[in-house]
Amino acid sequence: MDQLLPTVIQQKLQQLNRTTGRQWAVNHYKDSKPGDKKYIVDVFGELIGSEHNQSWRFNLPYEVFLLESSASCDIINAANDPQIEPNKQYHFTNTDPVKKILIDIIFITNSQTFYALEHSDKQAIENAGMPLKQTISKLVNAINSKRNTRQQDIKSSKHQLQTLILPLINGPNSNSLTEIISFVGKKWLYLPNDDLPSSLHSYPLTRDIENRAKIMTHHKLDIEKLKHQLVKHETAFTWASNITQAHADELYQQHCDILNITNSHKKQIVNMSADARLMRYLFGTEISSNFYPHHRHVAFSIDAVAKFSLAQATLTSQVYLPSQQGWHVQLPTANRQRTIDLGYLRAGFEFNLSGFAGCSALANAKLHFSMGKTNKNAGKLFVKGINDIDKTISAQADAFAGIEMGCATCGNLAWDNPETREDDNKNFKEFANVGYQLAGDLGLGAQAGFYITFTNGKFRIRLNAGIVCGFGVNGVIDYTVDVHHLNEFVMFVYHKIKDYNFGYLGFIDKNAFNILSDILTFYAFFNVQLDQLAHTGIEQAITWYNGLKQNWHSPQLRQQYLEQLIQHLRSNAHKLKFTPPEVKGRLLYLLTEKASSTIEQSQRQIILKILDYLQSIKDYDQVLKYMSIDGHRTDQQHAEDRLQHFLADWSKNKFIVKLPNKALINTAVKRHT
Amino acid sequence: MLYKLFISLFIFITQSHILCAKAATLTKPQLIQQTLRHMVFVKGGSFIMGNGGNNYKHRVILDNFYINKYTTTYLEYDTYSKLTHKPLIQQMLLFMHWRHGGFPVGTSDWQQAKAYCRWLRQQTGLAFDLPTEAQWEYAARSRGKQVNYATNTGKLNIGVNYPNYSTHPQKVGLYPPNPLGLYDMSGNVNEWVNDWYDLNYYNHSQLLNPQGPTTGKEKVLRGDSYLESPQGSSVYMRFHDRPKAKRQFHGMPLINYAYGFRCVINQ
Repeated sequence: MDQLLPTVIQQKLQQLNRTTGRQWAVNHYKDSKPGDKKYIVDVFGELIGSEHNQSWRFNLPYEVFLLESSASCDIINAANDPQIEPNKQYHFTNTDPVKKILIDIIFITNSQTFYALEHSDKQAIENAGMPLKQTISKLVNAINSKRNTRQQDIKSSKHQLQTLILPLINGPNSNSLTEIISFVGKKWLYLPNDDLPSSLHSYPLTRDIENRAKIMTHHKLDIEKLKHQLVKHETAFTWASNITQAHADELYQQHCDILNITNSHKKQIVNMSADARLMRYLFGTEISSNFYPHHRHVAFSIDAVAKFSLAQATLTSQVYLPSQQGWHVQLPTANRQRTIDLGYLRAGFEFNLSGFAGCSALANAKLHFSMGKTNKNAGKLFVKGINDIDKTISAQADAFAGIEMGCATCGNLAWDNPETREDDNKNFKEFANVGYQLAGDLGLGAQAGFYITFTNGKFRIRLNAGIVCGFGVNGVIDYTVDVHHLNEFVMFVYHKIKDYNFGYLGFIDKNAFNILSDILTFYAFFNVQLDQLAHTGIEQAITWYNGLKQNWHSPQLRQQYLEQLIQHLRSNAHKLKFTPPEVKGRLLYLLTEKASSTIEQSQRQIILKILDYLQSIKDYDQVLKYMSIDGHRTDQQHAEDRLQHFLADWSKNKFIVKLPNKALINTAVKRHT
Repeated sequence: MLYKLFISLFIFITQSHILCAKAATLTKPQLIQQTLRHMVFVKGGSFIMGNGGNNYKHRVILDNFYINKYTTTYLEYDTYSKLTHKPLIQQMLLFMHWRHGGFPVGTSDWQQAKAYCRWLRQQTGLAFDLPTEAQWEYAARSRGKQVNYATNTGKLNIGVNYPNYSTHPQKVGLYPPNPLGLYDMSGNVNEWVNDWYDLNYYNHSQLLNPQGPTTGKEKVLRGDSYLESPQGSSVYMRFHDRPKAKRQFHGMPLINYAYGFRCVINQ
């Protein structure tokens, strides 16, 4: 049992042995009350006392009261042992020099170092952490307050918190948030700097490997070995009894990931970056007295979009709103007489820092998205969250959402692409990224909540967050279709046109659709891939089609264009799969133009290939309606006559008899897969 | 080889035919008088240029200047071409009705725009030039007002104060001007300005009469064209392109008639 005794008690017992001339054994000891630093030690054995300079009072069984701090003790004969004078009090005076008592061990996550603390050290560290603690407490109090000045209080405490936190993320002191795990009492502490007294006894885990001391073995942190390594042979220090193996076991159990990083050389699964440390702080370790990241997960919503382990502290965690399964979006048209089925959409976000805090409030929370408007933040997405149910989380969410540098998130927009499904499960594919802010209102079409434009060389999507992210979420998100998403974007638009039975789409600006048609026409002519079209490529596609329109009156140039088209589509007919009727109409118009007789047969073959990709009778009708060079509506009968006239073996039924009236909704294009 | 020769010969013949197509023109005094009549005085001042992000908000102070209330038209540019014995611009489009008269000239090259303003300078002795980017934005925003669009209301009302959807440019001045009296600064055609393009120029722009970077690979265009969604017509939007357009792709012509311009007179 002796090994369980605090060092200070052991030393005092040794002194007792020396004084009495006997070996005393410890039966058990217990901490009387936390903090009073008074220990009761039951001993057994025979006392033959000589009194020297000590005074004793014995009772039986012998109970020894040892005061940790005074280095003296009283021994009481509690049972009236007849061999000992009843109730005689002996006072034991320690003749050894007063030793400094180490009352706690802390672990600094960034430096992976243990430190031994005296009472004054611990007090100093807690004092250093007070500004952060007080500021966040002030903010939480302001948010929970019902005072008239609530808004003003929140604003001022947010500003105060921001002043403290921002330097920890950016600037010369950006790595200076010190994250501390304590053995005793409060488990997590944070200091807004990395200044620890140099006089502290320290023991880095890296040295443990060099020393082969193995303070951690067999999934256990050996407290005695650690203590030994911290003070080695220094006799001026003694350990308080409260730092026990039980504390070490608990600490190891909760933080084994953190403790094992260096020791085992295993893959680092705990993020120790400044941002991750800050995130753990933001999550509320300063508010809650105990924080067990190894077991604690934060579920963002009931159907558990993403569970997030704070121990792993994946700073940019992918979160889906409203869920991984997406949201079936049905939009009313501008005149609200019909509904456009956008299928399943899903918004993916990469939250960080306070964005994460906002996200953690998602369950039953009201989230508000907005695009940054300042010089620094234009085009970035910001999220604010207020949760009426969980005040603790909501306080943090609201608190940090307003911090400029901390709450920007990035994200993407994905749709359930039936083309890429391998089974009945949804298969979400990204087709746009958050970014770029459109100035001003977008006019009537945008009121529907989902609107595509073409501005400054790219397709943009403005989205009412509520229609994709679900109820309780509001605000506006601006997405940009980057070049690498163009292929997916084309498939998305085509499927929506098809699902709407090739009718007018209210959610895409007319010019944007014209540009898309120009791009797809260009795509049909040349050996280019959509995702390889840089900005200049899109512009090139537009100016190229301008050229075609202006040169079409020239028989020779017309011949050249047609040869190019025939040559390319002969072996790339799959490119026609996702072309809307407006583009098929254009191509049919071009291909039904008389040119040299040498290519006439080839023209017919390509026309048949185009007709092969029709999905419904309505699709066919629409193709005829747009059978013109610039996509203008034309007379359907006239267009059909033109087609019939050009095709030698014309039979309308031959082409459309097998077509359904309506294309299948939310399914892959079945024909020509 | 013979085939290519044949094609070239054919193109030459057809081009010659187009060259013969007539474009209405003015006399030199008529052109100069009309131009001066269209110049609107813009009192200089201080304003915050940009709207954040890459368009970093920064203060700019401008001297007084005049700016043409319209973008330059085919009628004006054809007159200039005739007087300077240059070939007609956008000859391939001569058979299009919107290649003539009061429609905005399509200057696919920045130099074509710059040369026109310089010629006016030579003819009049006045400091004609392309506007700087700052001048353009200041004028479009009616001396720096906080508006998104250079329409009469600062908002878009398509078909009322902004061109309806079209596959080609509209006649200049069809829709109401901005409060300063300038037409089509949002929509119709992109407008070349004097400045070289630099994404980050706003971060270190001069305070007084900024002239843009000293060098660059692309020139700035402002305003918006019929090719883009109306939302792109924001007075803050910056476009950029090579000063000399590519002419061909796979041997086939590329035609850009969405870039126009207007001149200023600096004091």
